[in-house]
Amino acid sequence: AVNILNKKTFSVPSLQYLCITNISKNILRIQMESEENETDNSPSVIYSRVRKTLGGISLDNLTNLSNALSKNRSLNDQTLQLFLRTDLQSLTFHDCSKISFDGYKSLAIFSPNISHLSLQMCGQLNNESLLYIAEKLPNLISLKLDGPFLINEDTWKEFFQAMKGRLQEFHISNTHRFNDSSLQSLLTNCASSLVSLGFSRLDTLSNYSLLPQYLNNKEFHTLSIQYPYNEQDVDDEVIINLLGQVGSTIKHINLNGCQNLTDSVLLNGFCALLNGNKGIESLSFSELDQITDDGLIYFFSQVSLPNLKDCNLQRCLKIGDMAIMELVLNEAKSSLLHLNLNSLKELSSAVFEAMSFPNLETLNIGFIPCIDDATIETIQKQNEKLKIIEVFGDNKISATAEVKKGVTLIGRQSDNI
Amino acid sequence: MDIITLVSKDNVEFEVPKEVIIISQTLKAMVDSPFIENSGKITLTNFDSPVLAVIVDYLNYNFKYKDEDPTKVDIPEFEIPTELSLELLLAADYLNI
Repeated sequence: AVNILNKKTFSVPSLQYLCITNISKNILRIQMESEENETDNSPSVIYSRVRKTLGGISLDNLTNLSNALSKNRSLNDQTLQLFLRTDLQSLTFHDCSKISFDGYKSLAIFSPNISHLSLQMCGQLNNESLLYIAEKLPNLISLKLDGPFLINEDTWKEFFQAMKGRLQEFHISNTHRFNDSSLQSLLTNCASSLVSLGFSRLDTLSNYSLLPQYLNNKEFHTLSIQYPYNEQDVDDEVIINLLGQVGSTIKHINLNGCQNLTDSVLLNGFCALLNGNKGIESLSFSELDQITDDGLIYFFSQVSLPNLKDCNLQRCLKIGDMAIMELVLNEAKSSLLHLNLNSLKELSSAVFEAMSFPNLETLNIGFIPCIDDATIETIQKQNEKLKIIEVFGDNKISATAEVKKGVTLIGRQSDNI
Repeated sequence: MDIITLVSKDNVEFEVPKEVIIISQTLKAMVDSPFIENSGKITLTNFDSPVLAVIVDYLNYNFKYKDEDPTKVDIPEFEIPTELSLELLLAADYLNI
């Protein structure tokens, strides 16, 4: 930042940048060479040569490699080659924006063992390559796509028919072409095998009430419905009915941004149906601004959550001290690892004096007006395993606040980078 | 000036001044931490000595040229040994350099 202010444009390139440039250059060179040399341009020869030139890397490290490439926004058709011809079963690309449809096709052809595939920001994935993936990856059971906006209604239909009976996990976000008839096709073909389902920011999907009619797998564990286009589409009744179907086995529930939900979902859905299900591991209720203290108190007092690790109540603006107190009294007290209370403006410092979670590791208390130096010290004293505290927007925290060794305080105004 | 010793997986030691080490945010955090790394010796069990050697070279290169003005001083390119580039990328990602 200092450099920008001083109008200084040069900086020493990072080692990551140098490595990636070198890798891409070499892959390109090897491809060119094999094209000139007609005799050995079969793909497998190219890949083994790529790997020989660049040095070996273990299967475990391929995941790290994909993370490093995504982080540097350098995953493209060239660097994709590194992941082909491997025995990889699970592959996650966080940034696919530079992979062309041909890239996806070669991925499907040359890495046939993949069972779990996650492609985020996959804007160039087209109809042909999606069907290719369904056809050429016989073991595929889990697909997570973010931003596949080129895939049209007919192709979704064809895809789900091809995946009939084997698709177990399907998560999709950020596309305006996944509509009610695509959902219908997903459910009629694959509902009986689905154990994990996620929708987020789908502009053309409205008929969420189809879900309870179809989802019936006895091992269903993950449900994520986030930011529906019309909040009326996901109402209390839909969620209550859904929990009626899968409530006894569910482990992860994410209802971020379903703002039409009220306390009724807690009273009639969660309380009634989760009773006896001790397996809940994560609950995410971000931006549910109609949920009140009373609803949550009732929920936390009636349902014991001995395995709850992750609880997100960010921007549930009506929640106050009592709900958090009740969470402390719940069996979740000793299992909870991550807690997000961002923007709960009603909270007072009294609640933090009572709040004690022996295993809590990360805590987000950004934008809570009552947080000051003394509260921060109390929090660290009461929650001994804390590693990360996020305090963005808490301007009463001063540079003199005491931070224990091993604890990282993120977002303090007085800290500069 | 403080000298920090970096130790590779195969027990080869590299001595580097602290001001050069802290170019890597990861190593800076280790050096400043309350843990054993604070004692002036950091063992990096993930890296083989050839990889660590290049990393030390790079840290020195970065330290030497980071405040130079390229219009006045000729800054040479940093050479990456191709056969190590994948492993180096992972290491560089870990070290945040």
